[in-house]
Amino acid sequence: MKDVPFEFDENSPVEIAASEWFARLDRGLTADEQDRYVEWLAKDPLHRETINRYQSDWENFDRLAGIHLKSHARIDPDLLAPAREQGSRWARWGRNLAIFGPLPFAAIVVLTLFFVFSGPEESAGLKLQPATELLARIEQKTLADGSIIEMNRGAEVEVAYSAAERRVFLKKGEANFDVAKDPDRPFLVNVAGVDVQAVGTIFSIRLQEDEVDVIVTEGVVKVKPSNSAPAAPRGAVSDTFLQVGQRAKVDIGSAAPVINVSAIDDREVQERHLWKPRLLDYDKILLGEIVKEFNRSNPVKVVLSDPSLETISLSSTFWSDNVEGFVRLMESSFGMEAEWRGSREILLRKAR
Amino acid sequence: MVMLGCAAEKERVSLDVPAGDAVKTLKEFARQTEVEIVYDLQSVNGVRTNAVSGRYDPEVALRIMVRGTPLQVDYERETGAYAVFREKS
Repeated sequence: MKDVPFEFDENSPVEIAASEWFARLDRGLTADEQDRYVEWLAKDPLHRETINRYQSDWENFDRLAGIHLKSHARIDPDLLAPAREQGSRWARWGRNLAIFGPLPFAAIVVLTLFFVFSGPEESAGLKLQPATELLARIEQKTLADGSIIEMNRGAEVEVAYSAAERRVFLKKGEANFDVAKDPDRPFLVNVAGVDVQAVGTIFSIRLQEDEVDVIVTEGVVKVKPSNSAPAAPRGAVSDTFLQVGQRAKVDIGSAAPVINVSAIDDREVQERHLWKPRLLDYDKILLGEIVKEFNRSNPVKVVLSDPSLETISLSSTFWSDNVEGFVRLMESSFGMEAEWRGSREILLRKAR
Repeated sequence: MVMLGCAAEKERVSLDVPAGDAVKTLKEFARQTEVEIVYDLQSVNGVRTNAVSGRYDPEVALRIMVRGTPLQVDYERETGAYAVFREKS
């Protein structure tokens, strides 16, 4: 798109608006102007293109004139306005790095929340999208008590908090639970007739067709068949405590579920958590390498058609679950074309 | 003020990135604004970006940084990620 030569009317409203914004950018924008500028940019893709073209025209002009540009943005008068609510994922990332950081103590709140994984909206760009759901971003929910649930693609979770307990139902798929400490109010995940209970703990549960799989990354959880499950008379099966480095598998296909505990090493734990978003933050990484990183985490794999693409040297700050955004930018800014091959593979090649 | 489309989800962030080598300043921009960004090192090599300081929408801040340089900003509106690239001449 950018390589197509432009024919434009310099008196068109878009051109005039772009030139005005360009001039304002130079002197700095007030808070109100910023809002209007962002609004203008978002209104029509043509606006972004036009301002980009201004950018490159100006650069040429600048070079010819030999002007040395200085463009310090003016300090915003709203500098002391309250800070925005920060995207918690970044904050979480920081916390993940300090693995044993203290968990927040939570206020007791009574509420019932329901949320269901929802697929992303249809979006233009990538041709053919047989696997939109597989490209969806990983969802992270912070509950009222500060506990955090990260849901893998396709997971369904229902939350029912009461004064006595914090109960969550994992209806489908896989999720990681980072539980805020509250000894007076147990945190309980009910999954296919199995209760997994924690106090201030991080653990993952994966619900498959015939099996529930639980692993613990911090603290201890108690795994037992739900009292409500008819096949599990009270006290018939003793509680199983699961610690860091252990995995419990519960066969939910049978009438009386059996809990099997086995050891799990760091590598397995890591692999099991690959679906969780990691910040791919590299000062320098080859395209071939970062594609591998994305592919480790996602069901949809990216394939580079040409070995010469593999050696493009990039700097990246990208979440591992945003392969879609990454591929779109490769198309729009890096002269590549993306094409679906089957429902789980995207081929990237040089644009013709 | 009512904002349209994805712009509504973008919020202004305090940032303070000094002028300097694009390889470093763009990274610093990403760190301070907590947005996703990708750029190829060959394109930004040797480019000096402008200083930006204040509360800005990240896209506006990025555009201020690259203004007057051969670099351009690409914003992926579906997922809110950015690329910086050099316009092919």
